[in-house]
Amino acid sequence: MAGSGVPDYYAVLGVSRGASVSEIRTAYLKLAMKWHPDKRGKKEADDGEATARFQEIQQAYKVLSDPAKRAMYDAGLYDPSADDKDEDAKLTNDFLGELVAMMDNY
Amino acid sequence: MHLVTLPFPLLLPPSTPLSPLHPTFYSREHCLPKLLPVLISTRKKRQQQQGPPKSHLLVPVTPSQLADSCWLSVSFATFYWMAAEPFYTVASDSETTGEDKSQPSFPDVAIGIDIGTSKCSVAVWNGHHVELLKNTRNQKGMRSYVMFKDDTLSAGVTGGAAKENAHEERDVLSGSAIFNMKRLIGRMDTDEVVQASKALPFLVQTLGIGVRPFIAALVNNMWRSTTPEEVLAIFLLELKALAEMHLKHPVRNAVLTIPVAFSRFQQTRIERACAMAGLHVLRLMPEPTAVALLYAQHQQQLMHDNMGSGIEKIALIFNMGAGYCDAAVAATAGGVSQIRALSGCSVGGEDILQNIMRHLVPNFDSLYAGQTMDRIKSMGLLRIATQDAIHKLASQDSVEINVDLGDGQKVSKVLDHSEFEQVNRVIFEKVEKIINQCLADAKLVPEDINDVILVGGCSRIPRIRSLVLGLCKTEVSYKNIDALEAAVSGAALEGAIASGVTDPEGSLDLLTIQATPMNLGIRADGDNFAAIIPRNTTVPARREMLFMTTHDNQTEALISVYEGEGERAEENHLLGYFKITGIPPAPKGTVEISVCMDIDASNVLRVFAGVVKPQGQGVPPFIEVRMPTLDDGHGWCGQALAKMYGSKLDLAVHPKKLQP
Repeated sequence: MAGSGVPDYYAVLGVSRGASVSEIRTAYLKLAMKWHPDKRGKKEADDGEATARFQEIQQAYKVLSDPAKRAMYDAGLYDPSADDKDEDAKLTNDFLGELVAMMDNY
Repeated sequence: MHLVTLPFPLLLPPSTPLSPLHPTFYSREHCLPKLLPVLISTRKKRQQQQGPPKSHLLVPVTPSQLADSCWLSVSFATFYWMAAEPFYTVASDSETTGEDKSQPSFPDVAIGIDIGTSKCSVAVWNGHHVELLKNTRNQKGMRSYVMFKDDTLSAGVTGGAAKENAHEERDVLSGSAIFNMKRLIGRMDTDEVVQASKALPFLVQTLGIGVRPFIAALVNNMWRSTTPEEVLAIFLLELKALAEMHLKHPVRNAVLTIPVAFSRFQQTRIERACAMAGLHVLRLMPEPTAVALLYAQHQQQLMHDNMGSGIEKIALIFNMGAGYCDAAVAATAGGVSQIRALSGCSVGGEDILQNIMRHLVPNFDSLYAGQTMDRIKSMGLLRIATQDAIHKLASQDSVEINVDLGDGQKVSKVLDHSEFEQVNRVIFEKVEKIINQCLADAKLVPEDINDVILVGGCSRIPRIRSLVLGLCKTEVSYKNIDALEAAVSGAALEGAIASGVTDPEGSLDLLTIQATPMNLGIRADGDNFAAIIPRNTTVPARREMLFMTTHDNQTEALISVYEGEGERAEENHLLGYFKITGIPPAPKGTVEISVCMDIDASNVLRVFAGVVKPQGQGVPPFIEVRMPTLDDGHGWCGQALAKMYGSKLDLAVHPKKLQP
């Protein structure tokens, strides 16, 4: 699967590795509706498990809904910690992502 | 059920043990608002002992007024009240207490409130749809002001300024009313928005040192001091009473809309005002995100089964009112509205109005320097004439302005669109920047946008419409939304959803996934700002970052938490600070300190910090701090800290990447 320490985003969303963009989005919407703290009743702020689960779903969707990030992830090259932090790492990620996506098309 | 008047005593005589003037009060708590819940509940007990309430309302006053131990009473709209219900609910001040423990016997659905700079509205989910409430004058949008008179205070909900609408604006501008609270709340006297507020008819006094401005209303030829929080609280009290009259049960929870540009410090001021009015804030929702939720509901109704198909629609929402301007990009599918980007600034109709007034009267500042009765009256006339002209320009090519300002000053001018646009060029540039930043942050191009939604009073200005639509490369805006009612409707929807209400027909199967409008981080690497949670991160959010010591044997480190877009810490809003102490002595750069920021679904920010390397018994426990911790005067706190400690307690960003 993907690089060490990175969770299996396909399993998080419950979709297959070949899932289409629309399948990924549908799975994400259902899970978001289920796990977002606003949908967990009154004690939402204390519901640590739901929050952690929602964040995991969110991260999985962020990567799998972006073709470049998904390609990087599939190739085991995706580095989540580089994603928001410094612009250089982000650019490298984006550039590599596009490259991998291009190679995939051949 | 019987008819009574609402008693709302927020001030007790000095002899009462819980009175703010009683010695025990100051030893426990300096701040009046924090004590209000106690006062309210105490009064409730007193009432039970003493029998029926008096038909007077006592209002919160500032400590300076407390010193005079004056009692203010307010005549208040009478309304129906269920005799079996308690008169008050205990307000939960979210800054001091957690969950409200009282057990209500009524359906506890949060109401939606849109506190506009110029107008306010309130809406509720009535079990089938969102309903906007009207006041006794049949208004849904009620002018935001509080009128100070000799022995009464009244807000724009009941129309305290005048019986007839035609005279309302004139009375609002008489110096006796405080308005534009939303522009003043939580701002320091060095803020340019506060500086611009000096051109208002009531008193706004500044000292320019980073403390709260002094504001006052004219009562019997004398300036009586107040605060923006207090004015807003009085207004909210009337709004709450209006909602309770319609719902026939007490209202406790509310969802309020706020500008995107509001800092977390300003948000605490809104929460404080709500607590003073006996309202618990369930959510503070950026205005365009409330509109996005309403749009999500529309889209869901249009495509009943789109949860299966996963069709996504992208909307750009632009909102511009009298005080603020904001934009949001929302991706909507299956009733879920995911906020992709937010941007906003404190520019609005008030700035347009002031620009035109200065254009019409070039010596505006010298003419109106120092507020005498004549000048206040003259400025009021100019304001009304200018406001009227701007409204007319929305549907006419040009407008003629003729106004006699008294004392030989007359304005006689024809104003057309090109002149109007020239005078407000800087404002349009700011609007452009907001839209472009929002699109860039959402990583979208104009062609990706399915619908452009224009809301707020200023969205009627032709140049604003054409500018926003042009930037989004479209010709028409989304039609099925009321520009003035959308935000409050969205807030009422969120109120129902967050209160756990479900609808059998599925019209509440909605969800807003919020994003943070500003970077959150700490001061590090000298005076730089290290963003830990970058802006537009999905909420709830939790991010961690590693830092290291900058001196050999450094045993203490200062964590200064900031919010904003500036690269240097000083350019951002300081939210609070605390020290990590007891760091084991070691060469610089070898001690690793983790700072973790957590925002929960209610948007509460917590900062966790502590030593992660070395590990073991010799290191101090982690510290958890709920932010913001600052109460006042944060304008100069940062400078005071720098002066006191220099770089002694500094940290630097650790180059090592954290594994998530």
